[in-house]
Amino acid sequence: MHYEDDAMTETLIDRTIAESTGRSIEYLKNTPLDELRANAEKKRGGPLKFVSLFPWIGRGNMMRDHLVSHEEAVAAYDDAIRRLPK
Amino acid sequence: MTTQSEDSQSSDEYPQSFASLVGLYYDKYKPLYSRIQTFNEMPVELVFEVAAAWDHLSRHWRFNESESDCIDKAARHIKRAVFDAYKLLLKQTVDEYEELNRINTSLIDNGHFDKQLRLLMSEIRDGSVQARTSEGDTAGADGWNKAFTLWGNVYQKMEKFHKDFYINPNIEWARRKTSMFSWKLRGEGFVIGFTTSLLATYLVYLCCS
Repeated sequence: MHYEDDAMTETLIDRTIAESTGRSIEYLKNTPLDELRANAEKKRGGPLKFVSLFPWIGRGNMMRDHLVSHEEAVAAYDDAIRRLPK
Repeated sequence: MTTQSEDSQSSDEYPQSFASLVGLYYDKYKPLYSRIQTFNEMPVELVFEVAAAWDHLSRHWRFNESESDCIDKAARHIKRAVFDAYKLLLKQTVDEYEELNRINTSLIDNGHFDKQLRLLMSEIRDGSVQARTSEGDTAGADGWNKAFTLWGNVYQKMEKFHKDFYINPNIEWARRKTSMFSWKLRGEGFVIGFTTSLLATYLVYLCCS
């Protein structure tokens, strides 16, 4: 089932996403998630995997055996950023 | 709740109705989610944010909580999910950059490739730091949009890095050259080591005899 959106306008970010995924932004917005998932699985040749990328993203109070403070999460992120050239 | 026809609010403004919250989801979150989906590895943290947003929304009907409060809380979760998606793409960029660092890319285009690469990565680094520090700013329409705009600019550069540098056709050539150079160095090291030890043995033999 697809949804109509007359007010849909394409931004520069939309165009970049469309280019990198090889699909039009209308398709990406209008296609149900299960269909997008099936496309990715077919293209990658395997089932979708669920991973945890904490502390890059997310919050410390979910599925953790201890709380990770905001400062610790920010420090981990900063550490990764430091690997990029100044 | 208002419907889409009753509400013409753009997704660039802070959502104050269900329709504009849906606009935020479709215009900002779903395209990025689709991009992340192409990895075929879905971070649970991204899914949790949308689940949390849905939970807040449902409370308006289930527990008669204020519509504006529920929309406000849900919007914050969707916003967080959008920024998380940008951070995932940044992580991919950092990983790809580190992979390029293991190759002697100075061989490409007389060093111009390296120079441009470092310049772009420096812009990505500065841009992402600036975007991240603006994430908490929700004061007014400008505050709401600031981090979206900054992350959007960083995203353009990350895709430019992937397209122009990471999958640059010259990378494979440089990879082969780096590999050949590395074997040549090892060969030279072996020959020098072997010759030196031969000479040392001979000198010891001369001294002792």
